[in-house]
Parts: sequence; C-alpha cells; structure tokens
Amino acid sequence: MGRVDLAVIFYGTSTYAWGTRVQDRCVKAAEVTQDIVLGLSARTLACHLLRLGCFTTPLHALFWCSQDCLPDEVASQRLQPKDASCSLPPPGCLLELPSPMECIGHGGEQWPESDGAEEEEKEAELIGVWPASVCSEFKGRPLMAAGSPDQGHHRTILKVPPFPRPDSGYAQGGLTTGCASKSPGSLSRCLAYLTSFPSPSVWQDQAEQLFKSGHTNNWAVLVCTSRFWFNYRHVANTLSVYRSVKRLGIPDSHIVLMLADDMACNPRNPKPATVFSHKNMELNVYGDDVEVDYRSYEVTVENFLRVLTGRVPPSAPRSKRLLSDDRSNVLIYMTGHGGNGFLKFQDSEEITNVELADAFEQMWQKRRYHEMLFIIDTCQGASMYERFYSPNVMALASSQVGEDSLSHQPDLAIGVHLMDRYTFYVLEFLEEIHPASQANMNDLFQVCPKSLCVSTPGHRTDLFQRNPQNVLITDFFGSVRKVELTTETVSLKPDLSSMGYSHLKCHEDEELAEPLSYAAQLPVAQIIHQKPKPKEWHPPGGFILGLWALILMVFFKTYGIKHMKYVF
Amino acid sequence: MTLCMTMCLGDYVPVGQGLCVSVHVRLCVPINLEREDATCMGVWNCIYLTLYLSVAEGAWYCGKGPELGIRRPEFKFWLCHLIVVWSLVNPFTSLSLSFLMCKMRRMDLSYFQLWHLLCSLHPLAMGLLLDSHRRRALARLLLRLNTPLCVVSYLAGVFWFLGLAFSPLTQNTYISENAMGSTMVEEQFEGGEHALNFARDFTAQRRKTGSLPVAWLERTMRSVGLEVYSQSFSRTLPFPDETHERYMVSGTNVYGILRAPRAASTESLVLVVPSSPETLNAQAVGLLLSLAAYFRSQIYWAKDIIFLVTEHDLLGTEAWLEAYHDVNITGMQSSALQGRAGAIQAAVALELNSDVVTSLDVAVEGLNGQLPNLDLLNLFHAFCQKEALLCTLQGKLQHSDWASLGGSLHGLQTLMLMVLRQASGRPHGPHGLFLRYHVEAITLRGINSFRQYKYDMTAVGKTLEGMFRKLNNLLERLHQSYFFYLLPSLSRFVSIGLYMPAIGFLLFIPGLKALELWVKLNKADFGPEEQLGPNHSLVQPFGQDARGVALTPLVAPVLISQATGLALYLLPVMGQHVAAQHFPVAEAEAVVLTLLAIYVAGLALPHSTHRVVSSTPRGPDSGWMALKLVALLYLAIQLGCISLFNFSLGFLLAVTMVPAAALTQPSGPRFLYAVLLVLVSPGATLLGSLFLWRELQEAPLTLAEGWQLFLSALAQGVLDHHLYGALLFPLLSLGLYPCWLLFWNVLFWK
Repeated sequence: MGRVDLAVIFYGTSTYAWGTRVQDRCVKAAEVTQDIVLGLSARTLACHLLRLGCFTTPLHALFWCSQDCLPDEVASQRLQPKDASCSLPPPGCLLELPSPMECIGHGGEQWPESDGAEEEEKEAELIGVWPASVCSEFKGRPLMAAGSPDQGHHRTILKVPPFPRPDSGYAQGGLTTGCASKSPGSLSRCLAYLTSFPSPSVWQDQAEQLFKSGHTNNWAVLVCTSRFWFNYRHVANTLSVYRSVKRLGIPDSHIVLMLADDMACNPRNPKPATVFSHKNMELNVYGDDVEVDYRSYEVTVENFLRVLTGRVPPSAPRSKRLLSDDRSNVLIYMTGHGGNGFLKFQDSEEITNVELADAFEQMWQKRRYHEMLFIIDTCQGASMYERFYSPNVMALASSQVGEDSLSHQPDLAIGVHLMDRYTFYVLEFLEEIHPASQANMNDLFQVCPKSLCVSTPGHRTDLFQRNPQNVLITDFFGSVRKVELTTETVSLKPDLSSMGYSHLKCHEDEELAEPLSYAAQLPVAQIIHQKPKPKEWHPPGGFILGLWALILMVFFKTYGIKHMKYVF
Repeated sequence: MTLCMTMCLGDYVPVGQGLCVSVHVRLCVPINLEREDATCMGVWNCIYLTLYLSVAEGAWYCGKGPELGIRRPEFKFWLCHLIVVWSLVNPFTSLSLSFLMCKMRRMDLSYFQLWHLLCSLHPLAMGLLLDSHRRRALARLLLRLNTPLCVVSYLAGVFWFLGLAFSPLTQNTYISENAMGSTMVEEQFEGGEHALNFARDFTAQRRKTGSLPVAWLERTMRSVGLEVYSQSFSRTLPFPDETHERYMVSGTNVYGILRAPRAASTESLVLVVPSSPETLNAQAVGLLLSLAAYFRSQIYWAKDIIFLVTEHDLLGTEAWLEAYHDVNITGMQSSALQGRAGAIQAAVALELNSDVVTSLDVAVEGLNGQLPNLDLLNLFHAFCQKEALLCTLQGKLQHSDWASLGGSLHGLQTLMLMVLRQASGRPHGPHGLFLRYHVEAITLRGINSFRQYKYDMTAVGKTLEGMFRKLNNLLERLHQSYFFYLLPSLSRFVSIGLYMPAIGFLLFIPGLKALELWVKLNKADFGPEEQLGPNHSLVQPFGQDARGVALTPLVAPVLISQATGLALYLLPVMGQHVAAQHFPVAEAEAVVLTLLAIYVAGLALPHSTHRVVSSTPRGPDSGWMALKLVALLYLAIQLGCISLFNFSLGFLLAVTMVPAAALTQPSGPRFLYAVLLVLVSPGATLLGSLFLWRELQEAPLTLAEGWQLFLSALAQGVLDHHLYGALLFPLLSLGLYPCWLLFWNVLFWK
C-alpha cells in the first residue's frame, strides 16, 4: 500500500503529481522533483518516483498541459480511448512511462506483484484543471465529474477508478494507444514529445491567467491566546472568524482552531454552552459544530509555531496539523493581549513579531503556503507584522503601534465585553460575504474606520505580489474552487488524419445544464436583526465649509474682532 | 560580610553585580576594623539612608518608576523602608538584605541596581570620612547647619503631610483589577420587601429567645437553600468590658454556604453581619437572607458564598475566623467548623439598623492599621456611583469641587480622621479582623440621617449584588491596587510613595541630632590641634577613651526604663484583682487606674536612676549626651519601624515626640522642656488625639467627657490587645514609653 498507481502531472498550472494514497515521502518526492518536471524530464521524474516506490506497477502517468503549450506534433499524436465513447480533452497527452528496467538500468528486474484485490478497489481522486468537455469514461471505467461554474475557468473533479492490473487492464486500455506498446520505438517517440515541450515559464504565465489566485486549497489557523473570563471577547472574536470561514466553505479539517480558554463552560457564564458575539444574545458563535483543535493549556507559543512550521510530533492527529502545501492560501487570525512587538499567550509567555516573521519565512521555505493573510486584533497590532519579510504575505491589524485596541458590545447580563471592535466590524462585513462575492481585499481594509474602531486599523501589502484589488475575500476566507460547469458544448476536432485512428469518435455531451446559483446559506440579516444600513445623506463638505465661513463672516461683521474672546 | 561574599559567589549574581559587591566589601573592610568609625558610620547611616529613601521616593514620584522597572511601588517601598531600618541596625546587612529581598520577591534587577548604586555610594562616603581633614570639615559644617536643618526638616515633614490632601499629591482612584472590570452588571435583586419581612421576623425571634435566634436562622437559611452550620464559642475577657457590659461571653455564629453550582469549592466570598445585644442589625440580617435567596437562584457563581451572622459582633467574627483558619491566637474557645468553602477571597461586612438609609458609610481601617486593597474600595465606590447612592467616608460626604481650597481642606479633614482612626489600630468593624488573614474586607454601614431622600433595601441589595458579581469574577486575590494609602475622599487617594517623605523628613531630625551629639562627644578629635590617626582609638581600650562614648553609665537608665515599660504592660491586668481587693474600685477601673499610676510613677524615675548611676570620669555633659544619643537612635528606629506598618501611628508619634526629643537637654529652660515632654508623651498624645478626633467629627468634647473617653479608650486599648491582638498597647508600653522615659532622664540628668 501507499503507492501511487496513477500520477497525473499538470504542466503549466500545478507541478504536482497527485495520486491515490500518496505517502508523505511520495509527495515529497514530487516536491523535490518539481524542477525536474519543469525541466521536462518526465522520465526522470517517473524514475525518481519509481525509485521511491511510489508507483505500483506498471507506471501510468497522465501528463497534461494547457492547449497552446503542446507542440503540434503532440497534438497530432493525441491519444484517444479505444472504444471512443468520449474524447479526451484536446490538449492532453496520456503517456505510459518507461519500464523500470529502462529507468533503473537493471535489465532483469521485474515489476513487483502488488495486491491485486486491494489495488482494484482503490479509487483515485484527481482534482485539477480540466477543460470543458470531459470524458465520462476513462479506460473503460466511468469518470465522475462534478463542479460548478466560476470565472470562466474549467475546473473539474475527476474520480478515476483504479487501474486494472497490468496484465489485464492496461493492454486493452485504449487511452495509451499511441505509446502503449512497450516497444522502444514508441517510447522514444513519447519521450521526444515530452522533450519538445516549450519552456516552463511560458506555461507558468498562462497558468497565472488560468488560475487568477493560484491556489488550490484553503487553510485557516485561528488563535485566541487569552485565558480568563474577562477575556471572553477574545474567544468570541476567534469563534466569529471561525464561523465565517466555515460558512464560506473551509471545512473543519482545514481549520486549526486554538482557543486558550473555555468560555462556554466557565462557571461565570450565565448562559452556559454559549459564546455570544452580539449584545442581547443575538448571535451565538459557539454552535454545536465547533471543533476546537487546541484548547486551553495546549495553546502555547511552541504549539502554535509547530503548527505553522509543520514540526508536530508524529503522534499528532490530522486535526492538529496544518497540512498545507505551496498551493494553499492560509489565513492566520490571532487575537489576545499584545504590546509593541509581542502577543501574550496564556498570561505566561509571549510570541514576538520577530519569531512570527521567522516562522512565516520557514513556512515559505518549506512551501507551506502560496499566499497568506495575517489578521491580528490586539493592542498595537501593527507592530506584529512590521517584521515580516516573506513573500506573498498580506497583513492586517486592528491598531497602530502605540494604540490600544478597544472592546465593543458590553453586555450587562453576561457581565463582560462580548467582542473587540475591529473583529466585530470584520464579522459584520464577512456576514455579507457569500462564496460568489466579488468583494476584494480593499473592502476589507476599509471595514473599520477610525470613527468606529477608535483605533486605527493598519494593513501591509508590500510583500504581496498581487494587487489587493484583485484578491477576493473568498480567496482566503472561503474554500471556493475555481470550478465551472459549462452549459455549452465544446466541439473537439482532433486531427484524426495524422493519427490514423479512424475509429475514434467523440460522443459529445449535448445536454445543457441549468445555470446554477447560490442560495443564501444563512439569513444573516435576520439573525442579527440588522438591515443593511441606509446611507445617510450628508450635505457636501464644501457646502458646510462655506456655511461656516458665512456664519463667521456675519459674526465678525456684526461684532468685530474684539468680541472674539467671547467665542472661545 | 560573609553574606556579601556568598552573594558574590551565588550563581545568579551577574558578573557586574558581583564586582560591585566585592568592591563594596573591600571598602568595608578597613572601616569595620575601627570600632569608633563603625559607630560613626552607624550615625552616618541614619543620614545616608534617609537620603536614599528620599531619592528612591523622588525617583518614583518623578515618574521614573516604570522606567526603573518599579511596578508595584508600595510593596517595594515597604521593602525599601524595611531595608533602611534594618541598615540602621547593621549597615553591612543592608546590602545583602536588599539583594536577598530582590531575589526572593523576584523584583526587577534594575531596581536592585538603583538600590545597589546607593549602597555602594555609602562606603565611598565612609572612605571620605576616614580622612580626618575632610571629616573635620564636614563636622564643622554639620555643627553649624544642624539647627536650621532640623527646623527645615520638621517644617517640611509637617507641611508635606498637610499637603497630602491637595491636588498634586492626590490621585484619582481607579480599578486596577482587570478581572473585575467595570460595573458591567445587570442588577436584578428585587427582594427589598422580602428583606424587611425577614428583619421583622428576626427581631421578633430575637426578642423571644433573648439571644441570637440560632434555630430560626438555621431554619430560614436552610429554607432558602443554603448549607447551614453553626459554631458556638466562649471567651472570658481579661477584665470586664464596661463599654459593652460583658465579661464572660458565650455565643453562637450561624453561617450558610451557597455552593457555586458549576465550580469546585476552592474559593469563597463572605457576607458577614455582626449582631450583638446593643446593635441588632436586624435589617442587615434580613437583607443577608434575602440576598442569599436571590443568589441561590443564579447559576453564575464561580465561588462559594458564605452568609455569616455572628453574635457579640467582633468576638464572634474573631472566633469564626480563627476556627475557619484553624488557628487559635487569642485564647478563644470555640467549636470546630463543620463546613468550609475554600480560601476566602474577599469579605463584606454589613451593618444596617433602619428600614431605609440615607447613605452608606464605608470603613476600611482594620486591626493594627491594616487596610484592604484599594480595589475593593474602588469597587464599592463604582457601584455607589452606578446606583446613585450617597456614600461617605469617615462620615463625610465628598466635596463637590476638588480643585477649590474648600474642597482640599475638606479632604484634609477626612484624611486626618482616617489617620487618627488608623493610628488607633482598632478594627473599625468586623472587616478589620479579616484583614489579618489577608482577606480583603470592608464594612458598610447604613446611615439614616435627616436627609430627605432615602434608599430602600432593594437599592442597598443591588449594590451588594453588583459587588458580589464582580468579586465573583476575580481570578486571584485582590492584589493589583494599593495596600498602603490614605484617603482624602472616596474618589481620591494618596499612595505610600507620596506620604512616606513626610515621615522621612521627621526621622531625619533624630539622625541629625544624634550626629551632632556624636561630634560633640568626640570634640577633641575634631579640634585643629590634635592629629590623631583613625587607628588611635583602636589601640586604646574603649572604657578609658576620654573622647568615646561611655556605655556603662547608660545601662542603668535604659534597663530601668524598660522595666517600667514592662510593668506598664503586665501589671494592670495581672494585678487587677489585688487592686480591686485593696481599693474600692471595680476590676475594669482598677486596670485603668493602675495603668495611669504606673505611667505617672515613671516620671519620678530620674531620681531613682541617679542613685544607680555612678559619676562619670568624663566631662560634665558626656553622660546625658550619650544617653540622649542612644535615646534618639532608639526613637528613630522605633518610629521608622512603626511607620512601616502603620504610617498614621508612626507619623502622629513622630510629629509630637521628635521636636521635644530633639530639644531636651538638662540645661536651659528645663521647666518648659518638662512641660513639653509631658505634653508629647504617648498618653498625652492619645488624649490629644481623642479631642482632635471629635473636633474633626464636629462633635467637640468637653474636658470631662474627654477624660471619660480617655479612660474608656485606655481600657479598650488593653482589651483590644488581649482580645484581637492589637499592637498599640504593647508598642506604647514596651517601646515608646521607655524611650520617652530616657528623654525624661536626660532632662533631669545631674
């Protein structure tokens, strides 16, 4: 077990090899060989993977790259399933990789026999970019496709049943017909296709267009660092962000929630098992589906840094790990009591801004994030991000250096402040966001002006590569797949003449899907009894200024300058 | 010194510190070899350490405290003063002690560094003094400037004290404890009528049984859902208490515990109502029961709440506290407690004797002048403001305008009242006994005066509910705010860092005077013609040294004075029965009269001491000078120590005794000095304080009333010592009275 029986290598978009039941070391192998992949030596990659024991026999690899990058020669040699019930996407090439003998150079080595019964039951889940029209069948087995429209990009989840055993299945598998035979001639031809790909940078650029945000998964680390009943608001802060990210689609498995104290069960809580974020018990953010991963005394600086950098002990369960990769957008939210350059944990230790910045750099070097959004709600919060130096980090803070962050929502019945001002307005803003929202980061920056927050929220974007205006809120707060189910039929016109496979016919799916739309998942406005505020009309500033000037002029005209002292 | 060395070798001593210490040791060594200079250094210590004190306080006052790392000023100043007084005794231990203290209390090293800097200046100054030329110059300067310095210092001390009520020295109070936060509570107590019904029942039952209706209380408490226990106690007073008309006391305390529904019983709060035959406190008992019923229906309690009704007011409270903490310090006989509720975090005592109140008076002064944490008072004040209640301190409302002169004078009046009450060292309410166990407590008294607007039980109950809700939120004992403070009003306070200089200035005077005497005693050494090296005195035997201090003639007066003090302390209570048999007085009167008799008899001591004292071979003045030198140092040490734990008492004694002590000498207008000395003797100070107290309360005493009050105060003072362990009586009789007798001896020295 623990081997891959199918490697799908996406050129130009993501350079990972995915596979079923991928062991950590296999993923690492893929990471290690990323450059090699980009360097187009697919054979080397395959051999490398093989050497690491990631593949079962025989090697199957699905190479795919975007349409334009394929040389004509490859396009002309496009491979089609034998039964021709559907067509493969045009810009693809499915190859069979060389035999281990060729890879390793040990002529006599045979493919190891694998447990056929188990292998048969394996099901590969391939998530990746796929063009509009997809096969309903793959190598004689059905492909299950799911997805939703977004942004005009094609994104499909393919569920591929396991490949059949080498002796039975793949020989008949029509997909690899072009290179199917193990004859040296066909192999060399395949390799020739591979080596004739254009330079990877071109693909990278095109991938940028294909994938505007460039991430494939979302993670969130939400940390409340304060103990004690009077810090109720910090727990409520964190839980409200948790509520929002969960509502927008990040599953609990991708959220690491750290709460330093259990407010819901505090004996001082007059409403046990609740944590409210709004006065008069209007919004309970401690629902019945809150999964706290690190609780009370587990929330330490060490544990937090271990989660970020991935240095958790082997015994740590999955829920306590941040299993992000270099295509992950990571949201890190922290709240607690801080000062200039530090954030207090648990009333006994603190993390400094330098430590935090170094942890982020480690994450970057270990390819643990693609982009990161850091939000902190604490006194002098801006001091926490001023030492960051790793790329692709955007940071927000509730207050500038020298400022206090203030609390909000004093509740007499519960007897404490329920939330902090900054997070309160962030929550109000997030409640209006739904997965298809086009609100961008600039909207988030303006969410709590000084008139509401009292403190001055700050943000830092110089490390971030993209313009914040192009960054959707849902890039970080949601787990929105770039998926689009097209309602149109894409006509594929393979150049059959050059391939010589006359029996290939694509059965094109001509069904028109109903356009999908999102239902409002939570009637937020009704829950918090807040209708969208009508914009109050203000007379223009110039008019008011003029009015004052007029008043003053009339005043001076009437009384003269010597009466000035009665005014002030 | 060995201690210093070990400090050097200690593993946690940073290298720099170690070097400093070793330098200090090296400088100390030659000085230590000389006996005379060691004594001289003792005198210098007085001056230097007073200076250190002022500098350290000045540093805090100038706002440098936080920069120096001083976080909780009062504790550190407490420590600082302790070290100062200790170093009066032994300069070498001062450094080690300060270092040890810093380490033990995990104080910041920066603070230690400041202190250390000052300490290391000290041997440098000593080194300066070893040079005879410089020493002579200094001595001359000192002799010339002595009197003006003393006068300036005394005036500075007095005016500093009087200035404490004025705006630059007072600060607004604020709640420091985060866990309590603000007054964010929704008070829902509506049981005012309920409370009055309970009160009526209680009064009726009380009349029926003639003592505390224990059975009724237990039944009622049980009916509102408390865990009820009772405790019986008995105590025979050392002599009959005429004010309260009691001698052999036995009674029962009843208490009910409200268990926190969702927390372990590790912490508790106490609401205590003292009930005694004179003050029934029926309304307070009613409110307690009504509050208990209401609290029982709430689920947010994180601490157990003990509702305690004690009999014989303070005696019952003392018995209950001793049993709760399983100690016996005052000879109280009591049954063990059946139920407990963890460590008591805070307590509120309630005294209400009317159905409606016009204001609530708060008492903070506890046993031996201990004060509760200022946060508890702040909490009460905050709820007073929230509920718009009239709250008074020392029976005085707050002046509306602080900035005005009238407001400040009003504040000064309140502050003087507090100083007088604190100096008395009596527990001014049941809360005073809790303070000994480090339980922060205050007493609230309902006042029903002729004001028009009255508050009912519901308003008082809501205040208490709010306070308990907030105390319930506590995570640690109250410790964030000040423990040492003076209050010119409920909303303003003076911290220890600001009032201590007043006594610092006063204690500067005995030091200066002692130094002057020392210089005069060694006059020959500073004469221009003699050039004796510092080692000279070392070679000579001490007794034959014409310029030194002859200690032997002083032994007799000191011993006799101390013996008189001991007699004053022991005889009145021990000899009460003998006195009652031989004279037509009751025991209580006998005690007071014996006290006065011994006190007055002490005035005749000089005649008897002179018989013992042999004539000295030295100059005519050296005898009394040496005695006065010893007396002055003794006085300074005592006052310094007293002012550490009870500033008010220390200051009152210092402001009266110090000038008289400084002036006393057997020449000049002796009669005037004698009158002055008698007027400032501890007893006379007590009498004067009583008059001042009533004057400030705007209820002046006539002389006869004053005398009666004085006699009963004497009896109460002795009783407080025996019943509760108040320290005023032993302090005066064993410490200050003998010291005063020494000055009396100086005055009549022949």
